[in-house]
Order: sequence, then C-alpha cells, then structure tokens
Amino acid sequence: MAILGFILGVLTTGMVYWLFIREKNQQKWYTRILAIALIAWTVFTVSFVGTSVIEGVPQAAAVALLFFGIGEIILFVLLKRFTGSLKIQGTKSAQIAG
Amino acid sequence: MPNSNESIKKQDYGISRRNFFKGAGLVAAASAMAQLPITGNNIAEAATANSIDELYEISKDYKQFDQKNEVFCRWEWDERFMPRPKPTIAPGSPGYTVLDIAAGLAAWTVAVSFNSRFGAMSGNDGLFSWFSLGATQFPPKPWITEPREASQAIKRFAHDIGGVDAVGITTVDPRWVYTDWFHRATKESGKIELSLTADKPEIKEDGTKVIPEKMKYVIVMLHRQPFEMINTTPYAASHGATGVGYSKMANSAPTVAEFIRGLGYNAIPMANDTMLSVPLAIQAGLGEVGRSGLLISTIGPNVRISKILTDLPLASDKPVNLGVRDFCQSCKKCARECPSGAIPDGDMTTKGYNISNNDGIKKWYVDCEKCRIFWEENMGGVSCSRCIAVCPYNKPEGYWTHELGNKLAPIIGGGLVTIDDWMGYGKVLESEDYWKKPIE
Repeated sequence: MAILGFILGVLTTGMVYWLFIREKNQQKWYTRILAIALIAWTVFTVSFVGTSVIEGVPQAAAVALLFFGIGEIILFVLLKRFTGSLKIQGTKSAQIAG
Repeated sequence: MPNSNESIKKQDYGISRRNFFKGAGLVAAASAMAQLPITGNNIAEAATANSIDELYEISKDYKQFDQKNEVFCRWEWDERFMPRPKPTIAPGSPGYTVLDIAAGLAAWTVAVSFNSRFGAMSGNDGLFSWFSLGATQFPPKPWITEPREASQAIKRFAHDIGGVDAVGITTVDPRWVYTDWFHRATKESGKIELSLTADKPEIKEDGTKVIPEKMKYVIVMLHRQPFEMINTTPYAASHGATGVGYSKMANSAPTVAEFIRGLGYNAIPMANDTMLSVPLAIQAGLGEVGRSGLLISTIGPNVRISKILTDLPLASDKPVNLGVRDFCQSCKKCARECPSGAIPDGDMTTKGYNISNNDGIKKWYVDCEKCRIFWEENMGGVSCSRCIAVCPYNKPEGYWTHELGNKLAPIIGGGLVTIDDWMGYGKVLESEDYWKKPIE
C-alpha cells in the first residue's frame, strides 16, 4: 500500500501540475498549498478506501469514498477557481484558439 | 538567440516547476510513509502518569473487594438469583446450532482441563498452581540481574511463548487484593493475607492464602480473543471467543510463572482470582477503564487479562492516559447496544448499583446483575460480549486506518461513532456468515 501510495502521489503530482499550475501566473502561494493538499488528499483517500477493501469491509470503503470524495471535489473546485479555467495548455485546440 | 515564443515559454513554465515537484514529491512520500504496515493496533502514544491516583479519583474510603461478591460467585449463593431465570433461547435456534454450541464449548478445552477451571475460581487451581508444576526446578542460585533487564527478559519470553499480546509490569497495590477468596464450585472460602514474614506462598489449614509481601511485582498480560468470533456475539459461537481468551491465559500465565521459578523466584499465576485485574492492568500501563467497565487496552477491548505475582525484582511500567474516557463520555455505543441495558449512558460516578460494584472509584459502573441474568437467558449461560464487539476501539489488527481512528477518537468524540455505524462496524456477524468467512 505504501508503494502504491508513492506511485499514486507522483502521478497525482504530475497531473495537478499539468492541469492547474503549469503557467507562471497561476503559481501563487495559495495555489501551491491547494495543489499539495489535493495531492495528499488523493493519496490518503485512495489508500484509505483500498485498505478498507483489503480488510474486507466494502461498506466502510464506500462510506470512506463518499466522505473523502467530498473533500476531493471541494479541493478540486477551489483549485480550479483560483487558477482560472481548466484549459490544458499546449493542446492543439489551445494553439488554434491562441 | 532564442526566439520570443521560447522566452515566454521559459518564463511561463520555468523555475517553479522543480520546486513544485520537490514539495509535492515530499508530500507524496510522506503520505506513503504514513501508510507503512503497522504491527498491532496500538492506540496512539499516550501521556504517562506516575500512579493510578493521578488519573482516577479514588476515594480514601475505598474498601478492598471480597471475591464472594463478584457476580459469578454470587450466582452460587445469593438469593437474588433464586429461582434461576429461565433461558429464552433454546438449542437449535439460529446461532445456537450444534456447530455453534460445539465451537463455543470446545474453545475452552485448555482452560477447563487439568483442573484449572479457567483460573476463575479461587486461585491455586490446576495449571494456576501457586507452586512448581515440575517443568522447571529452583536453581541452586537465583538469576541475578538489573530489574530493567529482568523485565525485558520476562516480556521477551512472554511474547515468544504465544498467546500473549501485550505485557506490562507494576507493583502490588493492596487496594486491589481481594480480602477473601471464594471457590464457585465447592463454595469454600477463606482469607487472603499479605505477609511480611512469609518467605514463600502458603495455603494454611484454615484456608487462608498467604502471599509474602516481598512478592510485590505483578506481570500483567493481555490475551487477544478472535475478532471474527467475538463479532458473532451473543450467539453460541461467540462463547468460544471468551474460551480462547481463557485458554490462552491457562497456557501463558502458568508457563511464565514456571519460567520465573526456573530463575529461582516464587511466582503465582492468576486469572480472575486473588486480585482485581483491571486496575492492575491500568497501573501496568496497558490501558484505561471504559464505559463498559472493561479494560480498553492499548490493543483494544477484545482481550482477557492474566497476571503473575513474583518476587523477581522488575522495573515497573507507568499508567497511561489514552483519552479513552474522554471518548467513552460521548460515544455510548456499548450502552446503546447492550442487550440487557446494564451499561449506563450517564456520567461517571463513585457509586455502583450493588455489592458486585466496588464503590469509591470515579468511573462508569455496570449493573452486572442485569448482565449476568441476560447470560442465563441466553441459552442458559452463553457469555455475551456485545460491549466488546461494538466498541469502536475493537478493530482487526494491522490496519493503519484503525490506528488513525484510535488517535482521532478522543478528539472527534461522538461523531466518530456515527461514522463507525455508517461504515458497518459493530454489527452482529450472523453465525452462518461466520462459518463461511474465508480464512486469511
């Protein structure tokens, strides 16, 4: 679970960076804190749910997913709010639009 | 010279990427580290105290307990329980099949064999003999070492003989020694005496049991009961979980006692006899008393307690404050789920319900008369462990999620109980589901 958590952490880090704070004008202290919180929360959520599944208590896994998933959505929305649109930079559509 | 677009690109995505990945990488690694496998389900590191009196309000008028007043002993002599309540459940009902009953009884095999009477009679029974069982002999010279090293050796040995899941060491507090012993089967009774002059434990002709005061060290051991089995309570199979606890005690306590005798010292192995187990376990730093009146130990409530009295000089552990009572104050799940209504849902008090409660300690007193009567109604004496099974501290060992829950329990309080309920913990495990559960 620890190895899975580490891999998940690295993947989430890359994704959050790519989606939200890749551009200089999006790199504020509060967006960085939010981004790190989102990464940690994602790793925690997946690990918690995974552990409950391994334990053999699917009801606990479902409740944990619901409970921590709400936090995940809140952090996602906040990050989106503070970093502008979710337009992925460097894609073909973005280049055309530019 | 780079073109303007490349300059803008470097300005946009340049230096902070590295810093960001550094920070986030650290968070990822820390998150992963936090989930490394945890051995045991130990409750968070606790604040320690120098004595039990620092943690509990114990009245100066507190009186030592007479074993005869213990509710299982009273069952044998007290008119209050005559005539016996009639069982409301008959063998053959769901949860009380031949399979369940056989398991419920067979698990007691070690506990009830060798005339040991699961160590719950009067002491000095079978394997719980106060004298050598012959496996070891007193050496010509006793083993001499520092108390700290001796404690480590005892803990090491106890850990490796199997069946012992936690060990703590304390010294005798005369308040927890029974004034009298009572044998439930023979109904004999007698005094228990701490003697300044005696050199060895002794049983006098008038039945007085003499414990030399130099035997002032108490080794307290916790024995886990099977998690799945206890969750079938109050069905017949859950009686086996209690039997497993007692059988582990009957194996471990006499074995450790024999080890000590082999080192050249006296040792008295005890189960429920001779001294109160819960306060000794608290003194030995193994947990706190919860709303259910049971020990909520560092490894949860699903344990049985044995102890060994010895004159081998040992280093004591300190009582701990785990925040259990803070949590119990708002949790109340055991009070809600107790089928006999024996567990109070109010505040702690210093006054119990009847003579089976030893008044004078501020805690939650359980109406053990109601509890014992329910056991009798439960197919004529199937032990109920519902308070253990539903306790939010009762979780399978080895999961970091539960370790986290234990740490947060005193902070979150009652809210955690709601989450515990939502997650499905504490439900009765139907007997037929228990038997089908895969073995890990």
